[in-house]
Amino acid sequence: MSPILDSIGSVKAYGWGAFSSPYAFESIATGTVSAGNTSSVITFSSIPSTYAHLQLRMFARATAQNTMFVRFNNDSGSTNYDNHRMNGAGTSVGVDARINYSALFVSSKGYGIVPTANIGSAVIMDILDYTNTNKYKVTRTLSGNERNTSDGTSDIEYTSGSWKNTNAINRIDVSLQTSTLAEYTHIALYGIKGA
Amino acid sequence: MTATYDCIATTNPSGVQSITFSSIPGTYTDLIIAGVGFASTETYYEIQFNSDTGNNYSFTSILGTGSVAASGGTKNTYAIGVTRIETQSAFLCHIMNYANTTTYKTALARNSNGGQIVYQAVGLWRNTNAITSVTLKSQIVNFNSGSTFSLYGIKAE
Repeated sequence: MSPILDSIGSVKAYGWGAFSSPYAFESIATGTVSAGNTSSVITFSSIPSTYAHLQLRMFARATAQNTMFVRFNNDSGSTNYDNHRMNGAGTSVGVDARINYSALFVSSKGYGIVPTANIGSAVIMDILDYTNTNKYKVTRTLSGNERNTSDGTSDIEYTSGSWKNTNAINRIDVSLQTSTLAEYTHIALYGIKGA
Repeated sequence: MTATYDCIATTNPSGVQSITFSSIPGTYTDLIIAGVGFASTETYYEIQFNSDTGNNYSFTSILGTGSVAASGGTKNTYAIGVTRIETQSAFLCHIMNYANTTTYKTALARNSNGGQIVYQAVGLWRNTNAITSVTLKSQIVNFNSGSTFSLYGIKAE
């Protein structure tokens, strides 16, 4: 079942991102990079296990164009994550996969997280059933960066990910593959309650 | 932990071609428009911020029709295209970090139309002002009865 299920008028809506009861969605913590600073990683630790699902909402900037990495429980094992994605770069559609990878990746098919002045990448990642200890963890991510460019460097992506571990998630690290998070990056972690 | 995801306003338009959420408080982190649109024929929904109708927007989209996948980009235009409506469609539009006065504003939209298409887009408003109003327009025809749009606010702790 979707983490978010509710209705507007007579129309039921299932899935990604909204329609929840106001009191089923809670802010857990926020990581930011203030003006003039950079950060190699933003870590959410000691995540409570009292929710059904988690959601990361990001406005992310980079010191150099780069792929975003998300890891759970400080696990950087080289084969512990799987990723599939599709993207649109304005003129072309692409699909690919990174199987047995070292992280969940975000916004890597196109131009990536951007260093362009005034512009950030938007990322929403749902982390489903994160405390379940009987199955691997699954994520779905919508991300994009729009730069008012027609050269393929503006990009919209949809990604599914799996962390091949049955442990409950209690820590999330957000970083970039080779560069650093830039000023005005804002990453917020939310918890979504179950019934 | 702070409960959030507040409904700021809801409107159920019929017979008009645009609606505006105005006087949006700056107290949230992100905004979400959740809507179901009905139309008499194919149209597109577009959003503008703070009554800005200049060519200060751009967006990149991807859509699938069941037989075709395509991507498009529209630059230096007057609005962000957030949905394609056949006769009815549900959509969510996330407006990230809308109240900050340092960066341009980015929105992510996803639109599902069970009969015809799935559509996703990222859009940019090249303005550093805080967003205080959002106008949702139907490009071709009026909103039909049954259309309903809500604006939510999410606040990060």
